[in-house]
Amino acid sequence: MSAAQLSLRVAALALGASGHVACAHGPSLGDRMADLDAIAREAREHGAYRCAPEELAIAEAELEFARSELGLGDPARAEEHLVRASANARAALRLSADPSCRASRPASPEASGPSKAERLSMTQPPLRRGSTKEHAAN
Amino acid sequence: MLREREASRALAQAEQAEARTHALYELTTSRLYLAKAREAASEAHYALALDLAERSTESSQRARTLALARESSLGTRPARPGASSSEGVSAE
Repeated sequence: MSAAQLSLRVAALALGASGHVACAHGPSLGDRMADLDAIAREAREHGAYRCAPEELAIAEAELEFARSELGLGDPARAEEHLVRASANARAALRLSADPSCRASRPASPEASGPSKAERLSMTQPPLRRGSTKEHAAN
Repeated sequence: MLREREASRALAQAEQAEARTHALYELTTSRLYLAKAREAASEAHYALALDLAERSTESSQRARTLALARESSLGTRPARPGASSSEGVSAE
């Protein structure tokens, strides 16, 4: 086997191994974000804005930070945000499922917090991290 | 940074208006954005820091407005249903 062939074989093995490791890690960050997004949405629909406002806020903000970090190519930091988002989204869902939360649910639309459109308007445009070190004049 | 100082001031005003009691969702959002803005600024990501600081300010202003409105409409502090923790859930 020539040196070039050997290099190719090593590269192919390394590629195969990395693919195997990636599969063994379970769902991708993107998939987990989608799941957590659904959990946070469900918690909100169940009244978490009133019964678990802090947990809901943390879950939503951390999820947004995770998405931003992933978009910026920093999966390690995205993972950190995702872990915090996960713990709080689940806590918000658990607290909003409590009978005392359901029993106290008022009929007004304000009770579920800002609408999705309102929240989007508060969080648009998406977080960005540009090469703007030279534009620090504020 | 000027925007960070504005955001800190807005957050303090929201806290003074009892946002912790009446607008905890908005207050928490504001704190998180401000913390992330400081992190971004410390890494010299100024555009991101500016964006986050502005959002923190918006959220604080909303928290303050809601807190003042809820305080005046209720007259008394509402008891929060459920057992939402005071610090969210630690991921540690």
